[in-house]
Amino acid sequence: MHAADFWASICFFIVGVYMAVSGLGMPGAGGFIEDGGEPGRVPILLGVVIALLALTLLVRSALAGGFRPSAIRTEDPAERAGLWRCGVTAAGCSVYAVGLVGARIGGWHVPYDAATALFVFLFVVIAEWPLATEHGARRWQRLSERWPGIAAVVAGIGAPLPAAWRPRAWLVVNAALMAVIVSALVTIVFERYFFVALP
Amino acid sequence: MNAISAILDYLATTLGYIGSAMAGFGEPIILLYVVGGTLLGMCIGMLPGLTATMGVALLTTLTYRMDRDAALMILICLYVGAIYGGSRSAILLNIPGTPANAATTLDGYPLARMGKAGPAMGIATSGSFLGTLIGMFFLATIAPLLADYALKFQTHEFFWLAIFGILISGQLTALDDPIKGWIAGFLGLGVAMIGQEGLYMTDRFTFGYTEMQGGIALIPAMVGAFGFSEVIMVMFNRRAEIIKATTTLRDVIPDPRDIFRYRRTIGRSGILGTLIGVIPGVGEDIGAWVSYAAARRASKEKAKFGKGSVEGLMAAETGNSAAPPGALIPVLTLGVPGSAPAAVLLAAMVLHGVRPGPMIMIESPEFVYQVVVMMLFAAIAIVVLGILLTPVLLKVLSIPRERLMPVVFVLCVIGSYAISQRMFDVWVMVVFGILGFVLRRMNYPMAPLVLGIVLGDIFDKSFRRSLVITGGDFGFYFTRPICVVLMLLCLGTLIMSFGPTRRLAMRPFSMLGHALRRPKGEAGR
Repeated sequence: MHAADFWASICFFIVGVYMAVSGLGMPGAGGFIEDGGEPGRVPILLGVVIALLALTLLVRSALAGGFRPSAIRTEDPAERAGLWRCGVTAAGCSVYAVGLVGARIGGWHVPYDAATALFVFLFVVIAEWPLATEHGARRWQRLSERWPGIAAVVAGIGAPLPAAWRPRAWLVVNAALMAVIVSALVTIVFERYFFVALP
Repeated sequence: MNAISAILDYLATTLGYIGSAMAGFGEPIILLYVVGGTLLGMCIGMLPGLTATMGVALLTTLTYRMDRDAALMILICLYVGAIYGGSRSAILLNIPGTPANAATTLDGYPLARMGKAGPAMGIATSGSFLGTLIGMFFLATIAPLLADYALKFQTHEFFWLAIFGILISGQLTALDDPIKGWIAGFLGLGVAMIGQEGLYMTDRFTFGYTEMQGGIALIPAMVGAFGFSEVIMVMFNRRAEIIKATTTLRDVIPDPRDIFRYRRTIGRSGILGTLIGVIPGVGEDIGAWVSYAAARRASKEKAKFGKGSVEGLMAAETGNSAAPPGALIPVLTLGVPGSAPAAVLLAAMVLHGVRPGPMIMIESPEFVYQVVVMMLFAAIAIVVLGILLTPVLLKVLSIPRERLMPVVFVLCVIGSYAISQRMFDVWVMVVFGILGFVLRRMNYPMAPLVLGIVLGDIFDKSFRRSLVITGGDFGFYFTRPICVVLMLLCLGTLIMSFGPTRRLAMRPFSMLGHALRRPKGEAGR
């Protein structure tokens, strides 16, 4: 945590200094701006306070050894795997929100429902892929117990596939079904009920 | 006699307003909203990773086209339901469904491991119900009085109030490291500086970008900080095992003997939870911890705490549920949120044309009592639904996060977009989501950041207006009576935040205590 504090405090210090300097550059009193009401007054105050607090954190974390490069690395494999999942999630979600929704790719406007269905499908498949066998077995058991008729039909369709592929094929079909339902529901609710012009 | 008749008059007026508010909410559709909002809140609260703030923020975007009363009824029921619903996962998974239920895990999970998951859920239900009622009582009685008093607040006072809010919120939400809480709070104030300022329409930190002139809207920022960041956060954590709970109706019905036995704990926790709720930007989680600590200190069964104490569980749940009504007291009277979900509710109220603040009792006194009645409906709904739907609700806990999170994110995107129908708000949501995740991973609390964004505009305008009025004279900040009180509170918060200064400040009191405790004979020698 000391390393994170060290680098974060440097960022906050820069933000604080930037705010204060920008505040100094804003219009001063004179003309229609009265004395005491200068727009830069509060940014200067906030910038100075943030810079001072960041400096305190910087000194404290530096004294605790946070500046050493070795302090950044994490050896815990679970934490590394967790951070990897977080990175993929953040990147995937950002691509959908910023790059797909409302975007034009090669002059073609990506429809909202298509973008949403693609996002949900990929998210579920990528996130569940490592767990497909475990989840598939559980879901299959539930389906067989509750709706044996449907289970028999599904078993018939999946019969030509090798046994090892079936859970993953099951996941892909499930994810596709979910993607279509979610996308259609959200589109209908917002477009028809809330009169939102979807991006 | 005059005082008694004044109190009776006040009570009659209060009851009159409450009665007419209840009559106004008697329509079946409103009752359907109560059930729907509370049920959704309970589901959101139960699912680790989905918080009350996120739920209220998302639903604000879904209800903005409804009429005011219906929309706010749904949002308040969701808020109360989510804080209560979080107790289920705290008891069964040892993971607090919302941060407010962290203290619940200490005794709720051990009780579940002893095979008492059903009774533990019953205790949580009774604690939550009574906590909400106690908070609601104070909301109905204190808010109107506080609103009258708040009329004395002028620009100088609002400046100090904003500073105090940031300091106390930063200190209480980051107990181990108040500096991080304060950085978060002042960063929030800084975020509020983006856009055209309100006095002379000068651009600040817009980088020449037209979309940024309107500033950072609160709802997309909140959806990002609490929605998107939660989606990322949830994917970090590994899964927990659910304890197989007994789910018969009889097991989860609260035992009246527990309520009678721990009546003092309930009363104390309710009052403490409400008080913590009133403090700007602090909220339910601290309300639960403070109530839990106070119950432990006063308990005759201290040894049981942390090992499955019914009293501990009752205190935690009463404390966190008393905080939402408490958090609405400053929202209604000062326009300052007492917690993060209350900040979104404040934004929702503004969106629906309500103007919370000191003028509320003059402009629309009936609204305060409508909020009280909404709380009452939510409290009744959590008891009824919490008992009747326990077996169904427990199924919510088995929804895989891999399926839930993409749906939540889709709602985050469309919810941010829907209010103003501009993509800029979606980008704001994404930026705040990633920023929120990074800050939370580094133990920076989100509540002061949100409070800063909400208070930024008041802070900026109050500070500069007061200086314009007084011709740049800072003296008024240190001489007006309310300013002096708020300044001393700020100073006290700073002093109590650090060990050495706290010990120095407390030394005279501890010396006095020693002197008073010394035996008479020893004192005479």
